[in-house]
Amino acid sequence: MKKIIICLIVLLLFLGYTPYDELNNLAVVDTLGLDFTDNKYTLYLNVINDDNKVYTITGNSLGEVFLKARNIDNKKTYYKHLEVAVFNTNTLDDTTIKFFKDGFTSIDYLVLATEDKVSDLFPHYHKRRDYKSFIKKEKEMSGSIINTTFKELLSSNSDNIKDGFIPLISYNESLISKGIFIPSKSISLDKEVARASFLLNDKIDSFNTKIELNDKSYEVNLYNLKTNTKYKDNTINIKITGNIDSPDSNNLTELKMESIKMLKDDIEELLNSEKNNTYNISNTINHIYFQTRKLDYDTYKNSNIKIDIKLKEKENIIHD
Amino acid sequence: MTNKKIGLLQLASLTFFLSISSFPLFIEKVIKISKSDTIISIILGSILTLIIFKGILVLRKKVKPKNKYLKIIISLILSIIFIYLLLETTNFIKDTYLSSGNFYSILILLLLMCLTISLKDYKEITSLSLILLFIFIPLFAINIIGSTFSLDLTYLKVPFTNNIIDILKGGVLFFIYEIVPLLLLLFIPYNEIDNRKKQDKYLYLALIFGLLIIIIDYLLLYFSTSTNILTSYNYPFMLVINSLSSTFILGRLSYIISFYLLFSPLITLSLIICVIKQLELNKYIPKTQE
Repeated sequence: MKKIIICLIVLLLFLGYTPYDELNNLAVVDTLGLDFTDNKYTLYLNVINDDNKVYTITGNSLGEVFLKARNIDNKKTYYKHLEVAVFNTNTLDDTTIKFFKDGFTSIDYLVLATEDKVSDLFPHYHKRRDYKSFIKKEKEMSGSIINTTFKELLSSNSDNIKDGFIPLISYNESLISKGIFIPSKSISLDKEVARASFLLNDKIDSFNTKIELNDKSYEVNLYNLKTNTKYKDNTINIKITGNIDSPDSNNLTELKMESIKMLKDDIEELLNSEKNNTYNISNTINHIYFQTRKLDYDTYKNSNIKIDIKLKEKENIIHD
Repeated sequence: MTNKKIGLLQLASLTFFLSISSFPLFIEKVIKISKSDTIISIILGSILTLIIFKGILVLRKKVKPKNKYLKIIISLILSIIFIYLLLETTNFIKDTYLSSGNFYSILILLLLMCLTISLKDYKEITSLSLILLFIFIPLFAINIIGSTFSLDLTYLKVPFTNNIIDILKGGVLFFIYEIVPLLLLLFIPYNEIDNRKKQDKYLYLALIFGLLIIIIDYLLLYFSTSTNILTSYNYPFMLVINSLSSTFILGRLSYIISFYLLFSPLITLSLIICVIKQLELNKYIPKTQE
């Protein structure tokens, strides 16, 4: 009895349904760009197995555009290797995000936004490694951009407590980071404020920045940064500890005071913007939410903010 | 009939797989009802399961169905449960792994696999479940370790924001999904296990272990995405499996690691066939000595 069943299984496996996609019949897309100008959607697709050629498709709606994009050059468009998606900020609304969630099976691709026209950006930067190496380098250097996947954007956007954000880029001879964009409120924040929000969320723990002091410019490196937020007696206490170092100067005291002041200003600007426009990306209001059991922006507006930053200077090394 | 007895560890691993059979397939139905308070529903359902399981352990020693009509009714009910679970598992395999496959080919393959496993009596299933347990534990550990890097504690919500009736409904639903596979243990004869006296303790521990695994799995889900997104997927746990690929740079290989999710539906299906066979064909002669 067992032998009969095993024979049947083997037979089924060999004669079974075996659809397969021939690679030459597929147009594999790894980067896409979406723009909305003159009341028309434009989709830019970078096809890997066609020597990274960019195809442009236009249509009156998202559905029409993706329907036309199903067949490129007699090949079936294959999105399962999608790695980067670049959106224009005027396309980022709930319908687009929902369309992308339903249309693609994977949600782990990186997302970026730009306020420039994608038609200017995409012909120069259409390979995934352009964007990936840019994000990695910029994160290590200035800490003003992080890897944001579509999954994070989707979950934060549909959450009651958080608001989703997406990194903003532009280009001027090379890709530059311009901060972040919040789709639910259509607000963009600049690089320094974006960096402050990543710091408050423990997404970065080191960055480099330039400090101007006495008409001279110094390159300063802050590292080992840790943040701690508490809410007590109508005051939000933010404590940041870390180290500071600079290759340009041995006297770090003044640089330390300047960097602390700069960081404080950035954090205050972020929190004031959150209070005035009622959005939440720094998750500071979560501490109030746990006490009052609802998302109370009025209490948040009336609460005081106390920021305490302590930076340790690197010990002086005596050279021979 | 059976000269060798079923080992204690084998029976415990069988109980373990029966207790986690609800996880990948049915957790979405509980999340839809209790939303962000699903963890409370799961804890309530687990406590209820533990209490009723004590009753099952006591019943095992005493009840042996002899009435012919009772056996037919039980076989009919088990067949309905079998068909339901078979269809759900085939749907899961088709949606997650073999999206362009033929539904009926997958169904027939799964059915043949379960028939092969259940050809002999209980000793074969229990030994298989012990082997599968040794494969399950390292794969599950890889899953947890890989997913902890993409957890975000800011998704924590205040408890009891939903209607208390919804939370209770979710708890009862979870309890039903847990207790139905565990009721199959009633049909495994008490006397056929070596080291009879320690049975209860081992089975209880296996159930607690299974419930802990479900709670850990659910917490991984809860902290990785917002609850509103989870309800729009049929099998939300695959989102957690996806996040493995970014940690270990595995790409599509993370799906290969996730095949451990199929172990417990397979064991449950095979056990149902074994029980129906035993009830109908009367091959098993209960030993009169205790």
